[in-house]
Amino acid sequence: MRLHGAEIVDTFAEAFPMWGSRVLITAATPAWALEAGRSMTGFATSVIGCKCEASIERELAPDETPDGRPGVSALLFAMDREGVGKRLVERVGQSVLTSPTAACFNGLQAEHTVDVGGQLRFFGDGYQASKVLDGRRYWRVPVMEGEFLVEERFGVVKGVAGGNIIMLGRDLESALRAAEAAASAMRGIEGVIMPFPGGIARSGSKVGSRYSALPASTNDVLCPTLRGQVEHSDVPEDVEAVFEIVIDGLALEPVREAMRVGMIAAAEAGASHVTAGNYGGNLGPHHIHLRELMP
Amino acid sequence: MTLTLTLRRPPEVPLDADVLAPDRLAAAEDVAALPLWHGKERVRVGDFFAVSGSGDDVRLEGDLSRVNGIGAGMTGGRLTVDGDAGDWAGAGMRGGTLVVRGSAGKQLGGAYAGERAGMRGGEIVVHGDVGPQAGAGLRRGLIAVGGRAGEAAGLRMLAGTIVALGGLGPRAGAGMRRGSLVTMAPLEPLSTFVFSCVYRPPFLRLYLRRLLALGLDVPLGGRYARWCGDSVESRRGEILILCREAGGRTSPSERGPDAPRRYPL
Repeated sequence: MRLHGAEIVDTFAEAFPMWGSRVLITAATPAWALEAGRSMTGFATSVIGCKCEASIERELAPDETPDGRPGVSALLFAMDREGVGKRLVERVGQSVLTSPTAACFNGLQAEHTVDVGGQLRFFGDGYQASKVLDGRRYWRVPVMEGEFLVEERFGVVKGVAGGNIIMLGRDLESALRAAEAAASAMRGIEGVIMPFPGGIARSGSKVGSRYSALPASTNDVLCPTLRGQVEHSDVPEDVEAVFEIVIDGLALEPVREAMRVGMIAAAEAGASHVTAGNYGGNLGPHHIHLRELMP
Repeated sequence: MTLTLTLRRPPEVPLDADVLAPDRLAAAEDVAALPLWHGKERVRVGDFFAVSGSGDDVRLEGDLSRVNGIGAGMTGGRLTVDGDAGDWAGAGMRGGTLVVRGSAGKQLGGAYAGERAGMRGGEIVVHGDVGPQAGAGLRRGLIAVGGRAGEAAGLRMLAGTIVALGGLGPRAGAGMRRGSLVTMAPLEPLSTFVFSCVYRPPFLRLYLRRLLALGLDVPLGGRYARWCGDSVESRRGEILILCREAGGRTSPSERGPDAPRRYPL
């Protein structure tokens, strides 16, 4: 099946549950909000090596934030609720508390919550103060610049991780162009992040390796350089480069939508093939078939 | 659904009306039969008010400046007073929203004699002025005054927030432990308050935006002088005073030699 000249492979992405949260960071200027958001979501590409997956969801105009300042919203995912809480305490504490003029708010009303500000308040060494407004508790932590304001509890929901599309190109340039176009289109969808650098991973992985200590290793069947070396390769003859975009979302529907707009954008931008990664269907409960997403 | 109570005749002596709270009115089978005290005389709501509608969104109409205890101890719902309210409005309140479109008397959201804590939650918005000792013993919640608060607002308050756009009277925050008093008019705090700095409190933006949503015309920007007190207590409370002058700084040296020292001995 073809879409704008790209072959859409008859396969599916296999997604699995992961707990997610939304963090709103505001600051005196959009640049400082972005700086704090980038720092907080840095080194959070894959839960295997980083204990969480996080990225900036989008930038926020002043009229969209709790305190009327410019901001960003970021999503953070971990394997369980406790993990989300721990990672938030670490990352908000090291990256938002420290960032000039930044404040930090919960962006998700949910049944389950984790304690974040209630832990970070201890940095105030007894000089912290709390404020309760409209049923939500905030902590004011005195810092050298003034005050760090952080909400006490953050909502967590069971989200969907591991949504993905894989783009193949006739050369590196066209493959990267397609992947960039796909990532850019996906950024327009609310409730998802693409946690890899610029949204794009060049090193898709398979489960396991020939080394006992390594739980994941290079996806050899999609490495163009190994086509003459492996027994079976999924790289067609005219393909020189492959990129993957991994999508984590607060629910299944936005992940599907991100895959849909990404697939179309990649095809329009010149991908030769679009496929998806799965584990044979045994690992994740959500199977998102590419051909079901066709326009 | 709105429950409307209209005052039919002005009381000759103050009317004690803490039954006029949304939760109590909504729970009553017959609102008009609920008891009130008219001086030392026991009367019924129906003797003074015309009742129409139902629900926990309650509207009080007429001149209620001699009706005391409106919304006292209320735990939820919304209570709107179309004109003035008497004394002790919202005293000991625990939740919900009380809006007074006119002015209110003394002890707004206050603490009854013998009780350490007054208001323990909820929001009070008064568009006009309020009398003395507003928010006395305040433990939690928000009191916002569009006009001026009388003397000793936040007396012995424990926590919570009082915002007075038109200014605070003398002895504001006397004996306060924690909590915030905020004013947009110049103020010389008690000598037991110590100046800290001029800054933009991040939390205040949340509160001021909330007050905008509740219908008060508040300035969102600006820098505030932070005074810590009361020193006769733990000095963990604060008075925040909006700086009007360009540049904003109001340091003690600019206020003359008798002003409290910035660094106390």
